[in-house]
Amino acid sequence: MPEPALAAQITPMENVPWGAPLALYFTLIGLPSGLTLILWWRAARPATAAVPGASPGGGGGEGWRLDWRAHWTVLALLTAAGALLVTDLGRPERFFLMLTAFGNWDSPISLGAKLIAVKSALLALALYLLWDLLWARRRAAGPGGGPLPAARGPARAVDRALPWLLGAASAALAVYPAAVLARTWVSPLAATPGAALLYLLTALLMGGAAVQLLLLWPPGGAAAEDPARRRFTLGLLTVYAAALFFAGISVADGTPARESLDALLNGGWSALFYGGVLGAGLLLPLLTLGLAGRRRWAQPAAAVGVLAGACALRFLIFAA
Amino acid sequence: MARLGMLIDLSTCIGCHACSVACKAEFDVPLGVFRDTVRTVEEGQYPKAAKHFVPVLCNHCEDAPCLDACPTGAITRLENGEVVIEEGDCNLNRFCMAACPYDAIYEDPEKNVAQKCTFCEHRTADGRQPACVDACPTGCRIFGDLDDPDSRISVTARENGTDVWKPEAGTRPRVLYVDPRRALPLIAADGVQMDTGADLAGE
Repeated sequence: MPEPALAAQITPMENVPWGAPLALYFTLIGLPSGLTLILWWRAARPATAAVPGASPGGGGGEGWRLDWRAHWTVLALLTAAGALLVTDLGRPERFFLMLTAFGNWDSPISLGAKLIAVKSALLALALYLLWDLLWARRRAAGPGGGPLPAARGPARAVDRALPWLLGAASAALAVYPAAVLARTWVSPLAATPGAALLYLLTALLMGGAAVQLLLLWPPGGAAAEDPARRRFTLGLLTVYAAALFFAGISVADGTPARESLDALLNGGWSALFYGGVLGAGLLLPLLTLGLAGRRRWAQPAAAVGVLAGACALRFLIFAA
Repeated sequence: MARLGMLIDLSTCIGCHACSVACKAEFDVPLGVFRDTVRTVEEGQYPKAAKHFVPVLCNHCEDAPCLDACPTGAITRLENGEVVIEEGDCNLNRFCMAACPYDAIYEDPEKNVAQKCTFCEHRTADGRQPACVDACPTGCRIFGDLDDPDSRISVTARENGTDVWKPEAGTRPRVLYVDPRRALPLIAADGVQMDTGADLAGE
């Protein structure tokens, strides 16, 4: 029999309100958020920095190709996330109510739907601007074309603000699941101090892994950047490992979160934790990148492991 | 304006479920879910075994987590303190269900909205008692104004001392218990909804 003071906010109740669609949603929503954040960071850094990608996305070179693919990927993932929410709610008009009801700003659950809508609109604008820029370049490169005029006035302001707005929406979307889950009896681990940081880091890891996989085609297109991407991934994994460790030891004894953590370490979820989070998500990429990082297969293999591990941790914070 | 609440004297509850049945009949509550029920919990071992009956329902908390959780404003507090769900505004996101530490909110499979005890708001608005209070054969439930020092509920609470269910949740419930045998801590890990998976089919 658990101590009464401990038991109240544990999750002993059989009537778990959220099912598979929400578990999948909270797990996967980190991917589009992280992908946009990684692109944003990459675009804001000089080309020589240790960030993944061939060259800054906002400028010339082949960066636009990755931006184009990544934006469409993110848009598809956000559409899928919206579809999951509609599936969970049962009817599209209920999702619409999430978007249009502003009565209770204290309730973080509707912020996810609103963020998805805002980010999708921003992405559509970003894709239009990218498409417009590419056409302008083609016209300028063709017969009779001149130098490309720089954006001015409102167009320039939009051009500059858009990446920041996308970054802000993505950061919020990466972290808000912790705010939702922390207010429930479903996920005691989400109420621990490190949960928001872990959600952010897993989103970034998922984004970095997705960039790595998006760069697989065309083959060899970004081979020159391989060492930089390897260093970046190793660095992120090191921060992630440290955050995981300190988040774990920050959980106090005698709390509901401790019960959940014990379930991860020694209970029913331990196989997924050791195999998925630590094995596939940390050890595999660290060993692969550390020992065989120069081989062509190493980075995609590490990316798949990172994706699997990050997904496993996000799911475990929700479900354990 | 009154601040309505309920007091349940556990020393007189006999676990007959008349309250549960009356509630089911009043609201046509579907099978497998509950607005109001009685938890039965055993304590100790022979020859010192004891059995407790603890009626449980929505606590109409002063700091109601469901009220703060609802994104559409479907959950509201009436002037008399009763916390109710406006069916038309509910989009069944289930955040209220996940936020309630008492598991007092359920999904109505027929109406497809979240539902819970309303303290029989339709009856109390007419000056009547909630159905569960009327149905209790031992009178273990007292419903009334917690702010009126002369009301029966206030007098009983003052004379006997009261506890609340899951005080560590910090919700300041308006359902108070007279619990001389300390039964409430025994259901600290339970909720209003119960696992009915092992029940026989109802049809």
